[in-house]
This record gives sequence, C-alpha cells and structure tokens, in this order.
Amino acid sequence: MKVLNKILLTCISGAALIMSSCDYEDKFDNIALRDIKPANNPITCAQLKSGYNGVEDFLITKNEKSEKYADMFTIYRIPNTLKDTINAVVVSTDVDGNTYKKIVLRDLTDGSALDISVDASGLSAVWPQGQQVIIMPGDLYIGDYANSTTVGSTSYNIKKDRYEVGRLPFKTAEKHIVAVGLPDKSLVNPIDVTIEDINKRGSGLIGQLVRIKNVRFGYFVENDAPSNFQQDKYKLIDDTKENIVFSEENDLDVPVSRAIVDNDKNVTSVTTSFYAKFASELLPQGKHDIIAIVGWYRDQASRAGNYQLTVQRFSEITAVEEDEPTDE
Amino acid sequence: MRQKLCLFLTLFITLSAYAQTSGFSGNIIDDATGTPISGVHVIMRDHNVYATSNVNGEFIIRKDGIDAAILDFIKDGYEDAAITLIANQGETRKIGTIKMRLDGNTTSGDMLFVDESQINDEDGSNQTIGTLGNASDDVFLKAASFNFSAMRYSLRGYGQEYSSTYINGVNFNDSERGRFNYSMLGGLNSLFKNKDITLYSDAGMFSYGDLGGSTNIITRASGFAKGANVNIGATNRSYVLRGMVTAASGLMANGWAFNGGLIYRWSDEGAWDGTFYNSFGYYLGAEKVFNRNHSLSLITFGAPTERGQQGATTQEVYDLVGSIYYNPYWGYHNGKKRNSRVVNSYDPTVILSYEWKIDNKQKINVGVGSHYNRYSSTALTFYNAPDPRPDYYRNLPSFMNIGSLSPDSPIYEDKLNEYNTLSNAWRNGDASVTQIDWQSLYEANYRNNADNPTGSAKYALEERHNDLFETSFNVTYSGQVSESLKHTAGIEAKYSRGMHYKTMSDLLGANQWIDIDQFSERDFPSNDNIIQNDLNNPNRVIGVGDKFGYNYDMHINKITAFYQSEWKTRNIEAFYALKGTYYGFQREGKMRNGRAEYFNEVSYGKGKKSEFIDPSVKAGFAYKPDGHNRFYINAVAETRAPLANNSYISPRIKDTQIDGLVSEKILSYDVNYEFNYRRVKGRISAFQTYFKDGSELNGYYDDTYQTFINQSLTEIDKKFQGIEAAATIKINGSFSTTIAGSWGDYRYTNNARGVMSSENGSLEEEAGSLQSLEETVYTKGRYANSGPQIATSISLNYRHSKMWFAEIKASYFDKNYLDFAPSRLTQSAVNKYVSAVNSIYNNSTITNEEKLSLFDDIRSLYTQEKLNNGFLVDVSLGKIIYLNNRSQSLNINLSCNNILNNKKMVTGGFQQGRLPLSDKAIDTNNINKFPSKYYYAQGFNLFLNLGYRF
Repeated sequence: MKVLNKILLTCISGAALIMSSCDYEDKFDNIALRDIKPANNPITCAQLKSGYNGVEDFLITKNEKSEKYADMFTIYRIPNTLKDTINAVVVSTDVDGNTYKKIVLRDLTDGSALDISVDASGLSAVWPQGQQVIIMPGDLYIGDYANSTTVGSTSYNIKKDRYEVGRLPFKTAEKHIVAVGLPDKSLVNPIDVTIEDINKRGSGLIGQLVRIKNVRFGYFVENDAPSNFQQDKYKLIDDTKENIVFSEENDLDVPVSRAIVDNDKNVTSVTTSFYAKFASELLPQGKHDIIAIVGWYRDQASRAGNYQLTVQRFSEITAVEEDEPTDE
Repeated sequence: MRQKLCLFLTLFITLSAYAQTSGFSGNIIDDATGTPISGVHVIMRDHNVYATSNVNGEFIIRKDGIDAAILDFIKDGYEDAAITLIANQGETRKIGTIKMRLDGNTTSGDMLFVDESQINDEDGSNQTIGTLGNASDDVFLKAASFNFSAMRYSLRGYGQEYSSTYINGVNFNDSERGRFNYSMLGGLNSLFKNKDITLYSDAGMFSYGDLGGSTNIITRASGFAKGANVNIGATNRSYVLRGMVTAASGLMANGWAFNGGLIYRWSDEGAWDGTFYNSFGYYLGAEKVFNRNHSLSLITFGAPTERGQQGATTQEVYDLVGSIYYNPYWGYHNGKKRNSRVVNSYDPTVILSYEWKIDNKQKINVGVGSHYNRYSSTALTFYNAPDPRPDYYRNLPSFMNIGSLSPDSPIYEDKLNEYNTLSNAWRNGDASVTQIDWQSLYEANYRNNADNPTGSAKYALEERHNDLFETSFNVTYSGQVSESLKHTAGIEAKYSRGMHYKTMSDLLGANQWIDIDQFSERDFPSNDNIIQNDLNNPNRVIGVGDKFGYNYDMHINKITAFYQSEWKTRNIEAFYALKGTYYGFQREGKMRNGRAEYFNEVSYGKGKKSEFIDPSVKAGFAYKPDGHNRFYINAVAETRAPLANNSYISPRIKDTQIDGLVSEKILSYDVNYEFNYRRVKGRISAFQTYFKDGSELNGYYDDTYQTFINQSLTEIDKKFQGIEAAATIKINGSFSTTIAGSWGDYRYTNNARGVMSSENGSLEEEAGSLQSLEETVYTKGRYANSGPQIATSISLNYRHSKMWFAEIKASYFDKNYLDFAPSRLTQSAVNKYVSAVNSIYNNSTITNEEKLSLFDDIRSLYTQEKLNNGFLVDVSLGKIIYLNNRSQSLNINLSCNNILNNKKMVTGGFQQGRLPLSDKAIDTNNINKFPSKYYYAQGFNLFLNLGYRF
C-alpha cells in the first residue's frame, strides 16, 4: 500500500508539472520597432554622386580596355573613412516584379535620386515604398551601370567580359541601409513631368518617380535588341489595334521596351521585365496617365542610349477619358 | 539460437506422458543484494525447453527422459550463468538458490544515439529516430547497440521499416512510414528494457518476425519487483538534466500489481547552439492475475516533449564559425535565444493485453493498443521577402566566388576586402549575420501592416503537423504439439489515420497571412485560381492557430495472418513460416488545391484506393553438434506493399499516385555460426538480401522554381550483403573483452525511374505533361544511406568484487556515404553535365589545368561523397554501494564518450537537390554553389547518473 501511495503521489505530481508547463512560443512577446532617428547633418544623394562617381582618386575601373563598354560601366570606391550618412525615402517597389533586386531612393533634403543594387528579391518587405531610410555609403561602391549611376558592390560579368557595379549581398546592404520608423506614402509623391522634360539631357529626372499624363501606347518597329530601339520608329496600338503584351520572353532575357507617345508626338519608352506580374497584359488602347521611375540605359558608347520608364504597378496606368470631339 | 522469452508468470511446461518427466526447480537471487530476480530466462540447453523465473525468483523446468542437462540463466543486466545437473528420474529436483551477478555494462542513461534534432525534418521523419539500447543477449547486437549507435549505424543496412516492434504483443510500427516511434517511450528505459528479440529472419516466438528482426517489449506490472528507484542524471548532450523515478508494488497476494514511472529531461540549451529540451514522460501499469491461466494487463504511457532542433549546414559555415555545434535555426529575440524549429510531440498510448494459458502447452495472447501521435515542427515561412535563413547560399562569402577572379583583376583587392569583411562577420559571431534576425522579421511585418494592412504577412512561423492515430489488434496462439513440434499462429489488424496539415504558429507581429501559394502567384500572375491552396476558401485570411497551405488525411488498413511450425531435436532444428498481408491506403484531401485543378488532378475528397496483398515465406535449418555450437541458415522470400508515404507524387496538394505502383520483392538469406563456451561466446554471420521494385520519395526546395520539389523513385533494385561477427571472452574473474565488427556493401543495383513534381505547378507547366516529367535516374552503383557500412569495436571490461565496474572501448567506422540527391542523377541532369564538359573542352581561353579542375568540379556534382572514417573511444566507471543490509543501494555511473573529442565524424546529411545553373545550363563559373550539408557527431560528452533503489 505504501508503495502504491508512492506511485500515485509521484504520478499525480508529475501530471501537475506537465499541465503547468507552458509552450515555448508563449515566452516570446512581439519585438518592438527600433527607435531610429534620421541622420543629423546628412549629405545628399547628389553630393555622394558628385563626390565619388567620376572622381579619379576613387576610380577602380572604367573598362578602359573594352571598346564596347568603356565609360559606360565604371566602378569607384567610396572609402570606408566616409562616415557621412544620407536621409532618403524609398520610391521603388518590387511587389509586382518589374523592379528587381534594387531600391530607388529620393533624398529628403534636396530630392536627388539614388539607385542601390541589392542581391535579394522581395526587398520591398524590408524597404517598402515610402520607407524613410538612413544610408551609410562608406565602404560601398558607386559607378555607372549602362551609363546610369548606381551604388552596389564590385562585380565581373563573365558573359559580357566587363566590370560593373554589382549587387550588394543582402546582409551587407542591411548594415548600410537602415529603416527609420514605418513607411509613409505621403513622402512619395510623383513629380508631374512631360516626355519632353524627360528627354532633355541633364534633366535630373533619372531615378525620379514621375507622372506623365495623356500618353498612348505603341511598340518600336526597328530594334536590334528588346531594349535597343529607334525611338522615332514606332506604331501606336490605337492605330494598329494589335494585341501586343507589355513583355515577352526573349533569348537575351532582358526587359522589353514599348513606346509611349504624348499629344505632341514626344516619345519615350516603358520597359517591362518578363517576370513582372503584368508582363502578359495587353498594351492598352486610348490615353493614359502613368506613374513610373525614370531610367537611362546606354550600354555601349556606339549607341545613343534611351530613357526607360519603369512602371512598378499595373494599377499605376490609369485610363483618361478622351475629349469629346468638338464641332469646328 | 537462443530465443529470449520474457514472460511474466512462471511458465510450467509438462511433457509427454509417454516418458518419465524429470526437471529442476530453484530460485534465483541477486548475488549482491540477495533479492529475488524475476524474468530470468532459464534454458535447458539442447532440449528446447524454457522457463522464466517469477517475481519471487522461482522457476521450474521439466522435460521427459533426460538424464542430465545444462541450465543456462540469462537476464539483461546480469552476467550469464550456467550449471550442469544430473536429473532424478521422475522427479523435479530442487537445486536451491542460483546467484546471478550484475553485469557492469548496465547503461548509465538513455542510449539516445543521436540528437533527434540532427535530422532534417521536412516530413517529420525524425520522430522515429530510435535507440538501440538494452539489446538482447546476442553478442553482436549488444555491441552494435552500445558501441555503434553514435554513428547512426543500421543493422545490415536495413531501414527501420524492415524491423518490427511490439509492445506487450501489439505491433506499433506505423502503417504510413513503416517505422516505430522510439521517442514515444519517453526515455523510461528501465520500464521498457525487457524484450523478446527475434534476430533477422529467425523463427519468431510472438510474431512472424521481420527482415531486420522483431522486438517485443514486455512491460507488465507483475514483471517488476516491488520497490522504487530514483535516478538523477547530468549530461552535456541534447539535454543536461534528467530525473527519473519508478515504483512497483510487485505481484500482491490479491493478484493485483501496479507500477508507474515519471521522467523529466531538460536543458535550456543543449550541446548544439540554440537547442533546448523539455520532456516529461509518464507510465502507469496495472495487472490482474486471476489465476495461473488468466491475466489482464493495462498500461498507458506518454511523453509530451518540446525541443529545439539543430539543422545541417555546409562545411563552409562550420569552418567559418569554427564549430560543429553551429545551428542556423536560432537567433536573438529581445536578447534571448529563440529557435525557429521547435518540435512538439506527444504520443499517448494505451495497451490492454490478455494472456490465457489454455494448458501447459498452449497459450493465447490477445492485445489491443491505441495511440494518437501528435507531432509538429515549426518553421519560418516568408512571402515576397528576402530569404531569412542565415546560411542561405547568397548570404555566404562563397557566393562572391572570389576564386573566379584573377589577382590581376582591377576589382580583385576590393572584392577580397568585401569577402573578408563578410567572412569576419561570420568568424566573429556577428549574430545579425550568422543567425536568424528576428528583429528584422518583425519590423518587416510592421512595415507591411502600415503599407498594406490587409495584405499577407512577410514573415511568419508555421507549424507543420504530422499526426497519426492508430488502433491495433493482435492475437497470437502458440502450442507445443509434441516434444519436438511447436506451432505458432497469429493475426494482426491495424487501422491508421495520418493527418497532415499546417497551422499558423506565430504571425510575428503581422496582421494576417493570406492562404495562397506565393510561388504560383509569381509564375501565374493573372490566374487567381491556380494560386489558391483551397479553392473552397479562396484568399482565406489566416490567423494564429488556423490551418492553411495543405490538409489531407491518409487512411490505411493493414491485416496480417501468419503461421509457423518449428521442429527441434537434440541436434537438428528446422522451421518454416507463412504470412499473408493486406495493405490498403487512400488519401482524403481536405482542401481543393488550385494547381491540382489546373492540371485536372484530384485533390479534394477521398481519392484512389490502392490495395495490395503480399505473401511471405521463410524457413530455417540448424545443426547443433553439441551444446556449444550451432550452425544455422535462414531464408525469406516475400513481397511488400509500397508504403503510403512513398506512393504519392505530391501528397500535400494532390491525390496522384506514382504510376504503376507495385509491391517490392525481397529475397534474403543468411548463414550463421554461433558458439557458447564458458569463457567465450559469439556469432559469425554472412548475409545477402535482394530488393526489387522498391519506391522512395525525396523532396527539396528549389530556389530557381521557388517551390518544393518532390521526386519519386520507383523500380528500385538494391543488393545488401555483408558479414557480422562478435565474441565475448572472459579473461578471468574480473576482466572480459568483447570484439565486434561488421562489413557491409549496400547498394542500388539498377537505374531507377523518377518523376519530379513541383508544388507550385511550374515544372508541370514547363513540361507540358506529367509523362514528360518521367525520366531515368542513374542510381546504379550508389550506396544506400544506411550509416557506416564498416563498424568495428573492441572493449575491455573490468569488474571488482567490491562492486566497481569499468570499461574502455574503441570503435572504428568507415564506408559511410552521404545521401545522394536523385535530382542530380536524372537524364536531364546528365545532359547538362555533358554539355558543360563539351563547353569547357572547347573553351580556348582557359588552360588545360583549369579545364581538368573544372572537369573535377563537374564530376563532384554527381559523385556520391564518402564521409570521414575515424575512431571513437569511450570509457565508463561505475560503483554500487549497498545500504541498510543490502535492502537499498546507491548506483553511481559515469560514462565519458568520445574522449578523444573527435569532431570530424559526420553522422549524416544530404547532397543538395539543386544544380548550379545559369540560363538552364551548368554554371561553370560557380559549380560549387550548392554544396552538401552535414550533421556531425558530438565531441566529448559524458553522462553522470546517480540511482537510489529502495
């Protein structure tokens, strides 16, 4: 009986212990958002670019030995002694897949733009559109990628046999780009521009989130590459009534450029990746307003180069009511 | 072949009336304490007669027409004893008291040979990792259990599904995976250590047996002596503290017996970083012995356990952090370590067993058992966000591929600087790089809540459940028809229901999760249906505790009937046995999957039912020239139905079974020599086993297609062959030595047929049809993933009369091969290798030396890796102190394992399924992008156990 009591007491105690134990997960409350303040006395994106990109003291390579790519792809070192930081806001989003492995920023001081290449998909989960960030560019690299300034890492493109600014490892990028608070879409208002504004060289619109009104869609008819085309050679969808999609798979695995034309017959392009969610959507007929990020692409000195607008969401192409024809 | 019988009441055997019956009776006590020993097997050597001592240590053993006999006394934990006796014709001679001495090999603690968390747990398979502790009296089996288990050694290379485990006569191999869940025993080894074991294809006592042997764990309240035991242990393994208490009433005068036990194992952090262990175990048993013929036993036990797992990783990571204890599954959460892969398991079990001794020659055992195994493991999931794994290949320094850069390159110094910066972050233990960054996961969700309040979380913790409910019924009849002929027959029936689903465990600060497949969303952006995990509930909003992703049950019925006849004479033994098995399974989907519907496949509701009827026949013959030597040969030929777990192409999302499912065919035989002398005993065996038309299911995550890929293999043929040998030699009264070794060759002997399937449908979409996803898989010549195929050990045991015990043993392991990835052996993969070789060969810009080096790299993509060989050395020391006139005792035992701290022994791992591709061809610039992942055996580890018996 004594032994039996021992058995029972033991097991009852054990059962009580079992029932009183709590789940491992219960021990972990939500982690609070870090309280990070914007930088004091920041430098601007424009100052970073002018201070290091194209500055011989920091040159690593301009692909001097390459006839094709010389000066189109360059790499400059941002020394690790640079302790200055930049306050900026993210204007890009990769949710719909047209922006890929990069974030585009607008400086909060002077509105200048900056691209940073990062080797990870889903960057908008970490730095969504409207997210204020502090950038610590010291010990990173800056240069022209296809004649357009970007910040990233050093890289050798073996297929093209050229050196270029490559993508930062994600863990490195996390240490150089720190989010401040929660995203605020009100910080990301597109700039209203015309195609003519964009086509002016040195307009300073490269990297900016813009809105262009009253454009029509078309496709280029003379191009030796999906993104290398004769800008003035195009056909409008409104005229041909053809079913042309925004992008299609191609041997070069590059984005496809389509034409947008305004009332004054100014032309520029919208460039869409095959992996964008709206790649198989048809180019719409009629007039539309679009919101896009302005880009510039000139991968060879022998080519003129093109402005390329990157539409980030299909919902940012909005139809405009056509004006009623008036009796004259 | 001695069979271990472990019955709970004295087995009285009366022999034929045609000869005078003679016998012996006596009682058996512990030499040191004088307490009776129950459960001792008493064997009348060469006469096919057995008995077992009762709770008072008493036994009676009889046989017709004997003049003399040798009685062997065998019980686990005690040294074997033997006595030669002259019989008194027609009488049962009282031989008095037999004293048995403790065996110094008493285990000091759990023989948990490998941390359960060392096993990749995509499908919950690690819940069946077992312990080989407390093996039978077979010398080789004992040596393998105690010496080889640290390296995940498999007896004869067989998978666990080829062995059967019973508890009180009820089969507990789960019908879905075919394995026994050792963790259900909860570490209460002392309550489960009494076993009847049938070695390999030998004649069975309680069942038909199995290719890899069968074990009947006998745990009935009356089988435990009255008293209690308290044990406290400290160790540095997966847990650090262990407390255990057991108590038993013994068989009381009223015919009742009760026993119980409780165990607790704990660590805040185990040997591997970020792991933890929290496990309770309980056991309650009651038995009513109505009379000499009838007894009824009821037991229940379970072990609710929560533990943090450890993950395999690449050698680069181990080298960077400088430790084999690195674990990618944890990170700091508000300053505390938090593991993302937490296993919760609980397998409550109840067994009712009834024993009816019809007469002295016939017995029926009936058992009903039921258990409900709840097993789950958490894991991070993410949606349109960067991969959170710290050892994701793109996060490692190797991804910079610095080796491809010439030192003359203008970017070389800077690239090297970047490489060193990241490498140093790993070396210096920068947790934001080396571990999960929980802070950033929560913050991504907060930002998403602000940016997209009704959208899906970016990161979450899901919980993958693999539950199993089973009810089994077993009845076994045994009858000694005559002096030399015995029949055994039985029926087993089992219903199993596997339940597979996942739930949301923690939203990590997010508002909700939306139940769609994100990878399909990327590949089919304008198709709202294909991305749905459940078309019956499209775009369902998921909160904590909700089921999502997949949900299906597997219903399985299994019925087995067998019959066996055995003949035993003085010099000859022979047996044959027959078995028939019905195995039927059917999937029941609880969600209507969008990808399955898109390809016109069934996912919802009860699917196709598959049924198999499989025969088995085995036979054996033995010759015993005298009482010390036995030569025997056994053989078995059978077919086995494919396990439900291996029969579906992609069971999470659809009902589609592997085309042309057939039963596996097996032919096996072994030749054995067993010897047993006073000073030396052992066994030597050679065996061959042929498998034909087997099936396997493998899976891996593919970044290119961003989905989980299932690859089924069928028409698999294998050949396993080898030799095993062991001997124990008593040098003198204090010293003994045991030598054991096995050599095996376990391989695939043909090229299998493979079918790949992607859970997001991208593979099928790309291929155009399911048929075009079938291709040859070049498995011929590959080694089976069975642990080391060479294992040897030698141990020296010392026992002092003052109850000191010591042992030193050295083990050597070799011929251990990493599990290969079938996806690297497909015809399409081979085509890619050929193209790459041609491309390299024709490349005029690289030197011949560089070409040869690249050829080696390509070869490494499909070559099966041989793991390190090496030695492990263990020592143990023990002492028993008797108290209060030996009515109580204190047992102190210290075992130190791997005292050489050998940290180079890989116990397992896998070759990654992904190929390094660029533009769908082998990326010759970065061939080693997806190296293999490994688990290592722990370095020096110890276990200190204090036990108090009263």
